[in-house]
Amino acid sequence: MRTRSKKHSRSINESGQSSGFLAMTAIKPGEIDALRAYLEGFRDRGERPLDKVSGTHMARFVIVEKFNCKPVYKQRRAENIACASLAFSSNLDGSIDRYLDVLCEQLQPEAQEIWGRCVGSPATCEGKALKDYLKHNQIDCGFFYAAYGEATVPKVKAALDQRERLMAFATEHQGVPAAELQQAFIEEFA
Amino acid sequence: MSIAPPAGPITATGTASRNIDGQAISITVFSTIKPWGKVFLPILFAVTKRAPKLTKTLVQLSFIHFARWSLVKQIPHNGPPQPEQKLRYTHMYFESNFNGGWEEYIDAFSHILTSGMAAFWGSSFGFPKALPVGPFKEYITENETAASHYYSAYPEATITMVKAALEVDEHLVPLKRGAQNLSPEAFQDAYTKMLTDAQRSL
Amino acid sequence: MTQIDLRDLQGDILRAYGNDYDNTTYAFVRVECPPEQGRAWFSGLLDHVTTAEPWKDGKPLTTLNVAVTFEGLKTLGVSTKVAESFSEEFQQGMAKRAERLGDVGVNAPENWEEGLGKDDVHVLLTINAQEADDHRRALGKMREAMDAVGGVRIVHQHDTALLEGAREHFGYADGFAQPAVEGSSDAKAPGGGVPEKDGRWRALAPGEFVLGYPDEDTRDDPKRRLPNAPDGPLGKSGTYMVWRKLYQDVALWRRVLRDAAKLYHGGDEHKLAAKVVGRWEDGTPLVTHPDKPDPNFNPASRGANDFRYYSEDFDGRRCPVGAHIRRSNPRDALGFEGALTFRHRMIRRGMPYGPPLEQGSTTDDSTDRGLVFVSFQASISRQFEAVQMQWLNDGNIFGLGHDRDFLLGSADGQGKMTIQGDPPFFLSPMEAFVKTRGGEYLFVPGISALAAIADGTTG
Repeated sequence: MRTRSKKHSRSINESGQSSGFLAMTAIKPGEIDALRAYLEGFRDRGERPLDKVSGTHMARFVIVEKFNCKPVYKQRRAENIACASLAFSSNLDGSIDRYLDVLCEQLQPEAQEIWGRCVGSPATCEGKALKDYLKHNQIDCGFFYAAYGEATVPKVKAALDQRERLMAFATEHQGVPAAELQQAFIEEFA
Repeated sequence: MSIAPPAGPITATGTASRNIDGQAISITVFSTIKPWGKVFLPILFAVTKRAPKLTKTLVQLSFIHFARWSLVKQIPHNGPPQPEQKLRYTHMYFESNFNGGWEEYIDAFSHILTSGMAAFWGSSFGFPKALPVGPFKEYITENETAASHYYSAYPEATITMVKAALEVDEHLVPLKRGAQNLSPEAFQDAYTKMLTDAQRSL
Repeated sequence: MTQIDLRDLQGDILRAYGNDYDNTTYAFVRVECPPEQGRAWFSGLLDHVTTAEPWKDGKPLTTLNVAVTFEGLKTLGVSTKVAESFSEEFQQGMAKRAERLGDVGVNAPENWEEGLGKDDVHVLLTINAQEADDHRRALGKMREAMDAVGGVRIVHQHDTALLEGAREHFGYADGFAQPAVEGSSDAKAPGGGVPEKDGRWRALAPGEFVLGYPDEDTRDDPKRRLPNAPDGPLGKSGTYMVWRKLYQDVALWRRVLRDAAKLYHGGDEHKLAAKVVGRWEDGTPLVTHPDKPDPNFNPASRGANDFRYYSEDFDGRRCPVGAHIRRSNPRDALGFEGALTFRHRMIRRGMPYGPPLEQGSTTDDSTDRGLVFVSFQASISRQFEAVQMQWLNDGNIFGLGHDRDFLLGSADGQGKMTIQGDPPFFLSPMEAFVKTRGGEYLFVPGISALAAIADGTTG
């Protein structure tokens, strides 16, 4: 029996203009190792597929195989996860809805390779079908902290670049006469 | 001309390399919640969200880009072959995206956010106190899961660099706008004032 | 308060031998004979090892202390099981951790001096002497003892001597700011320990520097657990030692500062240099005396280090936020009453080496000179490496992005230092003022631990 889709409250997943998204999707039996190898392969090959999903600040793919429990925890009955699960978590710009639209369209062929190995995913992991699947498996935030929730990825990157340029400019233009300074500043920044 | 921030020195240490992207470190922890936590934690989350003063220390510590606590009450079900599972306990998902070094990160939280740690983790089975640090680090290590892939859109930038960059932008915007309209001397004064005001971000 | 067993602790760790010892030799020894023979030689050293006990009959003419590397432990017959109970970074050795320490490019182990960083070193003998004759005699005795056994040789020797005024080669008074440790003579020195709210200072738990005692983390542990330490007798009264030879390009330092000072509106090149260091040349802290040194400043006086940053100089207008001493010991600068800094302190016992560069000269004279950096700490990774990586080679925690410590410099000539002021000054270029020429991670066993090694009873 499928659990009913929950209505995911906007505000608990938000901080400033940014949102936090988490989906936990059961991995098909026998596919864990292949999925892990695929995900680990990005770094080994120097690939950064999430660059394609605009609005992604920081994200991770984590394969969850168990819930840890030790006798010293005094948990009356150990509880393990019945089926290994892929956790995909992203800290992103704007609404989750818009983000998933972008992800489901742009993260190809990776989305197929990743969620194609999960139970219940659409035959073609893209577009609305994939978005619905991910939303079905979404886990809401309890408490979401964003240190600079007002700033989008493009804004952060542009600001970082600008800071480097300003520091270089300020260092190189000490003691430079006013007119020359002004001209150089306009050329560099305005 | 755009200058990419130079690749930084090595500061991200103390954790599996797959948890690292440039300077950014990920930590992912699952813990099982005691029954009273099921009631307490949602209240804690709601209260913390509405009282920015409580997160003031987190902000001041400036280690974290993004952090999240989420309650997993049920695992979403997608039909066979995924077994039906009704979770007996609620589980808590915690993630953080931070800079600096895993050991230093946990040390800081244990020493400075001791009561915060107790509030967020106190209802997790097996949570030792946050101090002394040794057992707490062991607890986190036991319950941590390494990422298979971790990504940051700006991996070489640390959190204080991001905040400094946003701060610098605020100072620069008026000067950029007005630069053309000032006399050279007036510009020089405005430029110098801008640098003086923004210096803790440069 | 914990009582420290001074008879079981080697000397110069908790309490410095002091500046009467003008000459120090570091002899790095390799044991190439069978373990039993090596232990026989090692055993012969033990009667001469200087302990931490107070001197009743005046200062000895010479002192001897002994440290071992991971390879040295195994060569002397310590079991693999015990050897592997030492910290991971100690087992790997400094050379293998070069990337994280910033020892890359010109500082990389491939460019280190003969004998260092290649797993060749087993034992380090540190000999201090007040007079040159005693120094020579002690070195002679050391070599005789090795020759008598055979199969034990020096792979690297470094002789150092104090400079006038206890300065280091850039001209700065050095070595007088040390942690205040409970149970030692400097315990109550204001400024040496953890800054407390009321302006007072609290001495650090001895376990931060000596294994087998509670440290700052475990001192209040109701279960009375002790910090991680090696197994068996080696775990008590020992400490880890970092030894690093740092070449200082004095001519380059003077040239860069002289040229940069032409654009600096805040003062002359002495002021600019003080801004980089955080102190004036005589040791006066910038925080207390931002405009000129204090003519009455005495580094040995009790209040010499009694200053803090958070309330007095938060914005770095007096002592820049990225100044060397502010980076290497931020005190309360990071807020939270020092909670982010108090577990990263080190005891430093280094020595300058090489003759001084002629006063005022800005031309390199092809002479080897610099600093032998020596530190003692209970954890190399938490204390030495964390400071090196997070506070010296990077600036994030201070809000300085990736700016490095200007004093140590940068091999690639990139980088700047922001000197806070009205207006700020951006000091550049950051050249390679300091280069790593070699180093080792070592362990300084307690006295009974030394005996256990010599007897082959380390478990």
